[in-house]
Formats: sequence, structure tokens, C-alpha cells
Amino acid sequence: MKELKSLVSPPRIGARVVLCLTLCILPAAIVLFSSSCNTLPVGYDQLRDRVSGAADTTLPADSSSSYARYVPLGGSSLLYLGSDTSYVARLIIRFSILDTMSLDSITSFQLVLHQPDTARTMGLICRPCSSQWTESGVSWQMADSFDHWLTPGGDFLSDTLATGIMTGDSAVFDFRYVGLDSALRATIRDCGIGIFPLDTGIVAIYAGTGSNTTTTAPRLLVTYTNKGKQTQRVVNDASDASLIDTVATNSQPFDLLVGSGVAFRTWLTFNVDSIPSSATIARADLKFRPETKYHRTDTINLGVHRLTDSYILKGASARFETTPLATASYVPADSDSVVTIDIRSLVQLWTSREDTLPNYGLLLEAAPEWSPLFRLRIPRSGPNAPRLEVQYVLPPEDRFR
Amino acid sequence: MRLTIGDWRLASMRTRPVLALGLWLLASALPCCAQSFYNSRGLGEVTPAGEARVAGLAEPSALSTLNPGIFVGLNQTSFHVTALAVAALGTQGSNTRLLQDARPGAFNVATPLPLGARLFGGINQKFSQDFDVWSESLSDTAYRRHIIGRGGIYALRAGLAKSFFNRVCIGGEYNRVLGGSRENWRFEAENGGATSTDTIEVDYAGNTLKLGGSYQDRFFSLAGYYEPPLSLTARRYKRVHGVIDDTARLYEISLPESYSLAAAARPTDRIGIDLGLTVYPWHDATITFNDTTSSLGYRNAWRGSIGAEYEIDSLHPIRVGYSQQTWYYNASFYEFDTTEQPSALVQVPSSISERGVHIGTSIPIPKFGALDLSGEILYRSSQAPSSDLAPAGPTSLGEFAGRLMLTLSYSEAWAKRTRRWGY
Repeated sequence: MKELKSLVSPPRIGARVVLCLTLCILPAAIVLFSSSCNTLPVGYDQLRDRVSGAADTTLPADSSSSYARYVPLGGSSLLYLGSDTSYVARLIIRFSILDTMSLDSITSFQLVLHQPDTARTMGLICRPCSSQWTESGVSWQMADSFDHWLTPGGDFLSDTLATGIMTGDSAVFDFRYVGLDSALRATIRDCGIGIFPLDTGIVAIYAGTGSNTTTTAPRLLVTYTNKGKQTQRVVNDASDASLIDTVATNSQPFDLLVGSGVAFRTWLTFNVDSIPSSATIARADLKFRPETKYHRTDTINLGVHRLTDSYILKGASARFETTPLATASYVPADSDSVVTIDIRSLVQLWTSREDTLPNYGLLLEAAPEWSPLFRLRIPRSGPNAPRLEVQYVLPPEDRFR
Repeated sequence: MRLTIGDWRLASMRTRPVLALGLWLLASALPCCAQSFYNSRGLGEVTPAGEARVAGLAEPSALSTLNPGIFVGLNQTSFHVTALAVAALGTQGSNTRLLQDARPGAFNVATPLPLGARLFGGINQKFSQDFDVWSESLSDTAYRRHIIGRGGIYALRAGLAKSFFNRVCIGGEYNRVLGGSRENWRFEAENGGATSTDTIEVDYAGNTLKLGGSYQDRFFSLAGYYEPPLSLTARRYKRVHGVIDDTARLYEISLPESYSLAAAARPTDRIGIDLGLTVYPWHDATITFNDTTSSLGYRNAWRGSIGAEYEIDSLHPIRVGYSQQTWYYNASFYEFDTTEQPSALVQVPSSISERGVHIGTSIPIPKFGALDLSGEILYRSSQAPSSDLAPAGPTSLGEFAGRLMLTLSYSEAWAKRTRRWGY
């Protein structure tokens, strides 16, 4: 009876009511606070009067120029061999032949090359290279980053090491090495070989870089007798590169060109002084419609680099950031396509940090410059000429105005 | 072993202080996001008094410690620490977004002095400028803005009061008004995720006084306070892309006075009823910049409340209340004026109204005081007036706000305190 009385006594009822009230308030609060926020524009009208509207402007190129440069092509996945009305190309390869290799039991020494386009044929001849070179620095004019070839296009001996016709997906050429004197063999080991075209037209040959290191890379196949059995050994290429020169650009002297192989670079500047330094660049697109002068690929990749030196003062020697700031693709088959490159971050730097990052302009080039051969012409004027379309937003206004 | 209700009660009595502290810490540690979609305008929302006991009665601020003349029956030192958690569910057009906020709400301390004098002080927020808003995503813009505002204006208070005849009290306090806000205007390009941030920071400083008084007896109480005009200095800094864009700006903001009145009746020992009215006649609020004074465009605003308390027993009160108010600044909406070519965007101001229901209770903590608890559901809305112009977007903004307030009160006289309004 006493227990029953205590259950219905006022303090016990009050405690229960308060407990119930507490248990109602707290779970409701926890449910509310555990919900996640979305990003829907609720309440933006309350701030709209503090937002300065967006402004659009289109800027033509203030200055422009173009220059050609022999660039190292050692990083390419394809090597080019041949000549046509625009280019002449040869290639150099160095194999990792051991100087301790015993030549007594060798029965054959063969050069193996693979090409992606099985329909093409090309006669070729191999000769020893007479100067040392580096894959990262070799070009038509330079043996490495510092030394020129004695003869542009490479220094080679007149000895013939192999000759034949490149056809099908791969070709095997008998390679003279065993019968050579030791000095010439040492030269081949150190300096590699050059492969020259004998026909017109250009073929692409798989290089030993990238994913082609084992199956389609250039290599030497050595067959020798070991304990009475015919055994084969593969000598991989250690380095390779194309040496490419341009024969004719088929363009006017003041044309703006962008191309790979022999690199053509176009310098452009845009006067962005009309954009306030406090503006946030919402969009900055470099647009132009090029004319394709030469291409060996269905998709052309272009890159934009920020110049760190004044082109006006230093010309083609002006330095630029090696990593492209932005890239874009262009399909030559689509004649209506306009190249659009997003350079928002670069324009933002030009406008907001003009004191530390001066606007020396931008450099338009192939990305990368050892990509499959192409050359584009960019009109200097007219509707297809380079233009910079900018949309910018001014900073917000104060809370009190 | 069978646990009886008596066992549970004994155990809960022992663990109540721990439970109360745990709840208070939980409320303080909840994730912070934002408070109101309207806080981006004016000086922000007027923050509630910061006492869960008063919040449960619909916040008649003249009956809270915001009134320097409320300390009639203060017979020993007491303090109140409050944690405030707010969730706001905004609706505009077909969009709905939930924001959350939790933070310390207020701290108040008061102590009796000889000859009926009282010394008191504390800190509480006067205005909240917390908000979090995204811009819309338009087809012709490749970017969005995310604007996050944090901060507010606080009053650091200290004052003296004198109690007469244990029924009347008058008091005055000095308020050092200070605070700051930081708005980050994040700019986000949608295609590449590139971002930049413009930041606007405002530091506030000012001084003001407040005078108040109350009459309290067993059956009837009357209280009120007067806050004279406030001159507030606002120093603004702006950083665009992380770099200070221009020199600091100095604004002088002049807010007119405000009043608050409240009356309470206790017809029986268990039932109390209160009425509250606070008036903000701020239509003439001005701002001065570069010797040029202009109107801030505020409105005359008021807040009314009615609340009731019922004591189930001497230890367990429950409180309910209803409040209604208008805000002192306008919301804004936009319409197209097609009479101009190209059509212009016209700003349409609209008043903000708020209605709220409030509940609350207290959990007694023996030999300490109490944990006061309140929950509030507020509905705020603004609607653009009808016009012939074409709306440029939604023409209304509604917001459901839920407020949870926990006040840890230290006072051994908590049982007596329920007999009076105030202290």
C-alpha cells in the first residue's frame, strides 16, 4: 500500500512528466542535428544585392609571333623514318650490346623493327653512328643538350650494317656486327646506329619507350650455338630517337604555326588591363580555329605554357614553364571545330598578381612536342584568329553600404 | 534482483549532476554550420536572452538577467551557463536546406552585497551573424558561390542593483559591446573545381548602458528595462584572393533605443502566467561612412510573448509559451522591370515575421541547482508583396528554426526561485 502510494505521489508524477518532456526534446534535437546539409540555393536572394554581376569581355591577341625549334624527340613512342614534301626523318638507336659478348659461336645477328601501320613499306639502310648522343637531348642539330652534331642530322660512318625493306607489322634485317673490326664494334656499342630511308614517304616505327619495351621495341636477335644447340638471345634497345627536319612549311613567313617533330611554337599576349585586379575570373577560354597543314594523327593535342621571360626582349630564348598550364584536343577531320583552351588560372594570375607574375603572354605548342607529326596554322586576324573570352566577377560589397 | 522505482530514483538522483553536465557538454559539442538564412542582412538576428528557464516561457526578456533590475530576491551567489543549439530548415521555391549551429549561449553571475545591493555581470550575444548560403547554379555561369558567415556582436556586462523591501529592485549596467564577423565568399568553378575566396571581416566595438527595474511579490510581478541608443563602430577589412584589397573602412552605426516590459501573475502556488513586450523602434537607425550619414533602412520592430508555468510539484515545473515578432530589417526579393531595356533587376524589400512555440522544464540537481531545459519551434517567413513585375526567382523565404537551450544554474535556492519571477 505504501509502495502504491509512493508511485502516485506528486513528486513521482512530476519527475515522470519532466523525464518525458526531456525525452521528447532531446531526440528531436538529435534528429535535427544529425541531418546533413545540402547545397541548394536557399537564402541567396538575401545576398544578391551585395554581389556585383558578372562581366564578359573578349580580348583579341595583342601581340603574336611564331618560331621553330629542333627539340629532343627521344620520349616519343613512335620513331619516324622517311621523307616527304614537309619533313625528312631518320632514326638512331643504341642497343645494350655487352662488350664481353663472345662472337665465336654466333650464327646470325639480326635487327628487328615493328611498325603500327602494316600497309606501309619503306626501304632502309643502317649505318654506324660516330658521335655519342643522349636520348633526352638529341635532335636534328644537337647530339645532347650541349653538343652539336658535326653535321646537322647526325654524324654517321659510311659502313652499311643492314639494308632491306620495312613491310608488314615487323621486319627482320641481317645485321653486320660479327665481322666488323673491334673498333667499329665499340663505336656501334657506344654510339648506336642510324637508320636512313631509301624511299619517299614516312613510316612510323615503334620505339622502345612507354609500353613497347618488350614486344615491339627495336631489338637485336642474336642466334648462337650453345653445347650444340641453336639458342637465341635478345639485345634490347637502350635508347632511341627520331631526327626530324622540316623541308618546307608551306606557309607564309608571318603565319602562326604550332607543330610537333620540328616544334613550331606560337607566342600570344593579351592585354588584360581592362579586368580589375580584384576580379575573380570565372571563365577564360583561349579560342581559335586553326588550319591543318600536316597531320599524321586523328587527334592533335595542344598545350599552353606560361612565359616567365619577356618574349619581346628575348625572342625564342624566352623561358617558359615546362609543364603545360592547360591542354586541349583538336580533331583535324572536323573542319568546324574550334580549339578552346581553359586558361582561367593563368588569367587569374595575370590580373591579381601582376606585380609578381607579369603578363609575358603564353606559348602555344604541341603537347608533347614529340607527339605524332602535325602542323597547324593559326590565322593572325579575322574571326578564326586567337581570342580570349573572359567572364569575371567583382568582389562582394560590404554588409553595410 | 528486481529494481524498484525507488532504486531508480535513488540512482538517478546520484547521477543527475553527471547527466546534466553531460547533456550540457553534448549541446556545446554539436557540429557548427549556420543559424539563420536571414542572418546575412542587417546586424543579424537578435539573439535570445540565453536562459532556458525564460526561453521556456517564450522569452520575456524583461524577466531575464538581461534586465539589470531583476535581482529582487537574490540571497546568494549564483551563476548560469547556457549552451544553445539551433537548427534552421529553410524553404525557398522548391528548395529546402537544413543548417545547424551549436555554441555557448551565455554566462551570467550575480552575488548579493550588503544593504540589499547586488553585483552582477556576464556575457551574452546580442546579434548573430551566422549563416551559410549557396548561390544558384545557372546555365550561363560555370561557377557557384558558397558564402559562409560566422560571428556576432556580444555584450560584456557588469552592473549594480539595489533591492528595496524585498519587493522592488532597480539596477543599471554597463555594456561593453564587441564582436566580429567573418564572411568567406568562396568561389567555386564547377568544371575544374578551382576555388578562390574573398573574405570580409568586420570588428564591432561600442559602449552602452542599460537601466531596469522590477516589482515582484507573491502574486504579481512587473519588470522593464530601457536600453539607450547604441553607437557602434564597425571596422571592415576585405581580402580579395587572400590579399587585402583596400584599406580598412570605418563605419559608425547608430541604433536607437529599445524597451522591454513584462508582467507576471501567479494566481495559485502552482500556476504562473507572464506577458512580455520588447520594442525596437529602429526605423531611424543610421550608418556613417566618410562623413556621410545614411539610413540603414531598418524597421520599427516588436516582440510579444505569453507564457505559463505549471508546477507539477515543487521540484518539477513545466513551461509553455507563444511568441510573435517582426524583425528589424527586411528580407529582399527580386523582380524584372521590363519597362527598361534591357530589363532591370528590381529589389523588393519584405518584412520578416516570426512566430514560435516554446516549452521547457527543469531538472533539479541536489546541492547544486538545476539544469533548465527548453525547446522552441520558430517559424520565420517573408513574402514579397504582389506586383505587376515578373518575379526573378522565388518570392518567399520560410524558415523553421528549432532551438534547444540548456542552462546549468548554480543556486541552492532553486526551489525558492520557482516562487518568483527572476531571482
